Amino acid sequence: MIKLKNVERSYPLAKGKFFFVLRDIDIEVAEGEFVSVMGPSGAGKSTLLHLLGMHDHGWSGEYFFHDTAVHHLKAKERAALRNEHIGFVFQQYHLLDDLTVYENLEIPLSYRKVSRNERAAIVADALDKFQIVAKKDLYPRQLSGGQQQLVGVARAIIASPKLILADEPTGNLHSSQGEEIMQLFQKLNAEGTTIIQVTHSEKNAAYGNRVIQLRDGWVVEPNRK
Amino acid sequence: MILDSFRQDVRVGLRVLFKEKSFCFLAVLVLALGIGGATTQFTVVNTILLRGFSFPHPEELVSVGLIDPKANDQINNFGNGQIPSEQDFEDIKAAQKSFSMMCGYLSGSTINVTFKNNPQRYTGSYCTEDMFKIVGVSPVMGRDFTAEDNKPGAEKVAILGDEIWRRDFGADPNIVGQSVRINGKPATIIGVMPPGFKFPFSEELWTPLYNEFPVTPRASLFIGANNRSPFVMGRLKPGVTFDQANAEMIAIAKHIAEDNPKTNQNFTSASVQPLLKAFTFVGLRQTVWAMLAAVVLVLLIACVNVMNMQFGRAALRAKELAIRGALGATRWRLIRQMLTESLVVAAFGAAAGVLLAYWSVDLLVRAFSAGPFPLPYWWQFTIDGRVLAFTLIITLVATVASGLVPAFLSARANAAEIMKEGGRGNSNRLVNGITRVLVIGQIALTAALLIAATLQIKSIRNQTKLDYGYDENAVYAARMALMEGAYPNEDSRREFFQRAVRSLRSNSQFEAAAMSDRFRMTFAASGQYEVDGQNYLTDRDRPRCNFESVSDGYFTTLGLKVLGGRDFTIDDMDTKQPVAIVNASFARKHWGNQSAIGHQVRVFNPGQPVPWRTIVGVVPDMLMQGPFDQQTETAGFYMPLLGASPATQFCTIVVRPRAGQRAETMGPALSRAVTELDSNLPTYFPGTPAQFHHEILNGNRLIATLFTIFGMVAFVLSAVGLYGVMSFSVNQRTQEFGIRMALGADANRIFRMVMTQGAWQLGIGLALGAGGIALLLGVVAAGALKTMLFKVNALDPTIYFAVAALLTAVAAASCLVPARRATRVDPMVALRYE
Repeated sequence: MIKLKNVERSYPLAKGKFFFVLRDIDIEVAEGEFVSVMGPSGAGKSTLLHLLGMHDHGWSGEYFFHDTAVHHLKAKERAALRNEHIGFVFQQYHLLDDLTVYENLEIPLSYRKVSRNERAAIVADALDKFQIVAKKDLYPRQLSGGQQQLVGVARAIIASPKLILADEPTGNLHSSQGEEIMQLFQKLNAEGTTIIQVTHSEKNAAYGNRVIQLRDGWVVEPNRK
Repeated sequence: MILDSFRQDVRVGLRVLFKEKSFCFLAVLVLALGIGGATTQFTVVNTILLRGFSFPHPEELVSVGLIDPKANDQINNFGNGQIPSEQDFEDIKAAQKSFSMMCGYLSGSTINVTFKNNPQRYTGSYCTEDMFKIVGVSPVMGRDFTAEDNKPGAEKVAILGDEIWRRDFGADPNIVGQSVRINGKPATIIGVMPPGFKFPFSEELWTPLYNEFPVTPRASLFIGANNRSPFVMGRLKPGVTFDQANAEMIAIAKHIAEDNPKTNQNFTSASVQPLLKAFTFVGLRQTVWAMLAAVVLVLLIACVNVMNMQFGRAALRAKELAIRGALGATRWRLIRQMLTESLVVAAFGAAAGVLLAYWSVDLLVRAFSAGPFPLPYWWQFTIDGRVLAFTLIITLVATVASGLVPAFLSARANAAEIMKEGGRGNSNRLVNGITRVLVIGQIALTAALLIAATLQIKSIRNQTKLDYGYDENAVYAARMALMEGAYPNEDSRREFFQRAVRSLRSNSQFEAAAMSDRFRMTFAASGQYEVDGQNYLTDRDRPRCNFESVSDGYFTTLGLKVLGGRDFTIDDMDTKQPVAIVNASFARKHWGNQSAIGHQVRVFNPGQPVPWRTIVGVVPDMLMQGPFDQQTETAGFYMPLLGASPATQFCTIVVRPRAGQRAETMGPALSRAVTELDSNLPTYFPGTPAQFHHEILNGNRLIATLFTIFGMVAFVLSAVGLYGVMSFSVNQRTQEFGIRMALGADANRIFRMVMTQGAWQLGIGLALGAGGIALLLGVVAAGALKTMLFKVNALDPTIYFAVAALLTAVAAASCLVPARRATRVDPMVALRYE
């Protein structure tokens, strides 16, 4: 599903020098995998995730998503590809404060030109699936952290992406809530969704198939089981 | 203790503001504009409407007039009433018990004075003996008038104003007792008034009323400038209220009406008004208040702008305030700190605003003084204690208006939440909501101001583009007054007019010459009239129109051709056969397509009907009133000036230069020609009618300019405000945009989101502003607008749409930059952004 070849990400410094965040990344992720990216702070985990999510454009190397050469795509084409296949879960949930749970779930669909009736059906289905029907008219601030992340995950999968990218999804949750989310990921993965998560937690990593270990921008261990 | 902490707050405030130089500069600038404008305009209000006279007990000074309860405002002199004749004044004075003194007077009158063979025309006042006693001002040299001086036949006396005493009488300390000729008659100077005294308005010379114009029977007909209806003022006895005086005057008016049904049957009521109010034209009062309202709107917009800036600062300082709160500051203490900073900004703004006001008041005075009519002497445009008190109040209002809400919201924010979330939270949502509402308010106020400004501009444009019916640049005019001393009877005046016309026509400088009684070729007389064959059941049924007395050759001199019948001739004498010429509108109004020639018309004189005039000609329409009369009625008729009975005392000479010469250069030639006819006869108000029409509109042009400035300042402030709010909003929503982009929103969608938000604010603001002003102008103030706007529809949709289009354009431009910035949000950065 994903193939990165010699991918590098750097930021310019003074006097023509560069600071490299990612160095010579060669990784592959097959469809249906549940991969955890680990490493100390500043290792480049989040940068790699955003690169995979096609938010970042300032990298070099080759990136194939299925058979599409992402490195050859224009920004608009990348956005279209991302919208079709990728969902995101964030550590800080990043729900929109002024929208209700229902509206937050509806947002990704509205950006994919899904009709109003269809949107209503899909959101209702997701509310039901995640057992948050009763919360649909609440605002994010009225939910607990775990509930907010639950909505975050629901929002990530609402457009039926093939790939979920999760940036420390349990970082702000206490352990029982974290476990719930990880079990949810496991379930989604079992249903066929590919998941790549960034995590500091070995326990969370254990929910996946393998770990990619990063340090100082380098992949030090691509296939830790 | 409180003072100590206030001092500390001020010190901290100054430090903070010094650190935030751009905010400080912008906020002070914006408030200075608002406070400066409001202070300037309040100076005008204070001068014209509030400060009033510096006489002793000015609250006892009143004007008195008779009222026709069924007539319109104009006839009733906008609530002040009128005194139809000198006899009415005498009857009122004899019957009343409310006043300690009363005086009848004519103001703005022509008084010709010859001193040491030098004839001069002065603007003076004919008054009964008590005018100066009523206002409590005595001559600084010589004596006041006595009842004896006022009697017809008494030795003529005059009192000089200080300015003319210095300018034209060499400040002669022995001037009292010296002989002069007043209106051609020997007279004695009996006094000089104190410096700066030019009462009632800008008069410089005073002479007794009845000595010049003895009381005539009520039914006498005086048209136009010959009108002798006096104004009346009085001083209430101590303890007598306006209501009591009013009730007494109404009773007296009824009594006079019963005793004199022919002339006074309609004047069954009366009005006692404060003298200052009676002296200030209602249109001016309304305009001055409207302009104060306009600048207060500008100040409000300025406050909204500063408030928006304060919200921006508060968002940046949320953490600092949270820490202060965590360290023990109470909410009130935090509010006080922020309000003190607002006060410091407003105080700087006020200081700069007052300086701006000094400059703009000076500018205003110069602009006002450039008009053709001198300003009332009691208008002293100075920034006094009352104005400064007003400035202090609006500064405090500005402080509270611009600082209280941001301070309150910042202080109520949850400290823990702010420190945890970096300032995002419920307060910011509320702030966003409030700033959006504020921008809506700003747009609404600006729309209202711009519409008002555009209406004013359209009004002045209508006035300047008036078609007077002839080429106002092609003729030259000057005024002269034949007073009784030199021209004691009608025959002598008639003889002079005929001689003058003959002489001017033989002058090689002039191609044509004529005379008219129209004041400065702009204001003709007007009143009720009758045409033959009509039955008028009551006096009020008689229609009104303009009428003018003109010599033969008048229409040719103005470049007009007689459409039907004939022009006047030098032989048209009222004593033989009274004749008239009507204009095309008049003929059409009364006789349709049939000829008006042979029909009869006459001015309506209720007491004593005047002879019918036979219509001998029809001429093209001319605008017989100046650029202030809104009446659409153009009907009017002309009477022969040379053969008129009674013969006028005042007339305007009109000359057309020979081909190749410019009319405005005819002054010296005309002056010489009149001097050759009578070396003691001064001419005055010289110039082409176009020059006068230009000058007479100076005041209105100034008002339109000021409204335009207010509108433009509001416009710029709104644009800046909208830009600021959109920019602030985009900054606040950076993370939201990042999330949305991460969730699939493309740049176009984000751009549309920001622009749509702006569009909603604009739409609601426009609807409120345009709707509000439409309601105000179309319903609430519709009556007042008739005197403020000249032939302008206050609900003209083109003006409303034009303002909406302009504001839409500026709003789009203001939103464009923040919207584009929103599209460039990098989701990767935004998602890490706090």
